[in-house]
Amino acid sequence: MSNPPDLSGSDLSALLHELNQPLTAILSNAQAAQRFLSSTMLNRAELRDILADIVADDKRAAGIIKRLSLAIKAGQDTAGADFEEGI
Amino acid sequence: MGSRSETVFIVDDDPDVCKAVGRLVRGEGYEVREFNSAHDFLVAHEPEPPGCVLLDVTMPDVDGLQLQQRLTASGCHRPIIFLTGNADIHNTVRAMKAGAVNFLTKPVDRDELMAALTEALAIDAAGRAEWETRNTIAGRVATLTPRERQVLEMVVAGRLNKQIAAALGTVERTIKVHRARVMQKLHASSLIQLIDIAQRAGIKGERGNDATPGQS
Repeated sequence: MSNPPDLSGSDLSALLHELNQPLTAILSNAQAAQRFLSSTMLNRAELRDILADIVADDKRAAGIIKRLSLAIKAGQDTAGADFEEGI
Repeated sequence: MGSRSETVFIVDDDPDVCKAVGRLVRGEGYEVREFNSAHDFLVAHEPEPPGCVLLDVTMPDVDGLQLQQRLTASGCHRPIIFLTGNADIHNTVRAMKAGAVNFLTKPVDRDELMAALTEALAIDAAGRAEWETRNTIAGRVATLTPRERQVLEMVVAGRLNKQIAAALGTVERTIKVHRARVMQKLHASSLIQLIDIAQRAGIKGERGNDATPGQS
């Protein structure tokens, strides 16, 4: 993992935006799979590909959440230090 | 699974999203073309096939709103549905004012997406039908002789056959012949239809030069 981003608003919103991407892919893939299952011609290979993509995007989302929590933690530490210095 | 003739152009810089949304839309029977940048889309896009664009707002280089502007500037009125991670009011208003048919937030649910696609494709079809009608009419109007066109303009202005005859320096019988030819060429079966067709073709009523009252 790269350096944890700081808690500046732009970094946080960029991460939040990034989180939307795998969530979108997961939802669309899952709903596409539901659609394929209800059709008469079941393509197992396609279904396997979809599930593999869902797994990959889920892991991608988890990675983004990890970076988010590191960013929040780093921000809290900085804020705490500033607060103590202020006293 | 492709059973519909419309094409949905998906433009999103995230390949995973492009692929997944593409699968979902293809699963509904639409033709799908996926692009990972606005640039790729602009290079490959042809305005002819019926369809709509599903466009990500936030992209590097050329973003969704800029792509919308470029499409409009090129004279292409293909309906656009925006897909965005954060539906901030500023961007939404800008996109809608510039003619976007919808603005959806990620992650988008299938039902919501399909409803938006159905609406956008109906708008595209209506626009194409209107354009085709205008084209057909323009083609028919182009077959009119200068004299027939003159007669048409005066008919549209509400002038009677004998008034038109007087204005053009001929007899009423000749005007009747011209008028019948005009109706036939423009596929009009009534005066109301003829006026409607003339209006669609942008033909304005012309009263003629010597429309002095009392002359006829």
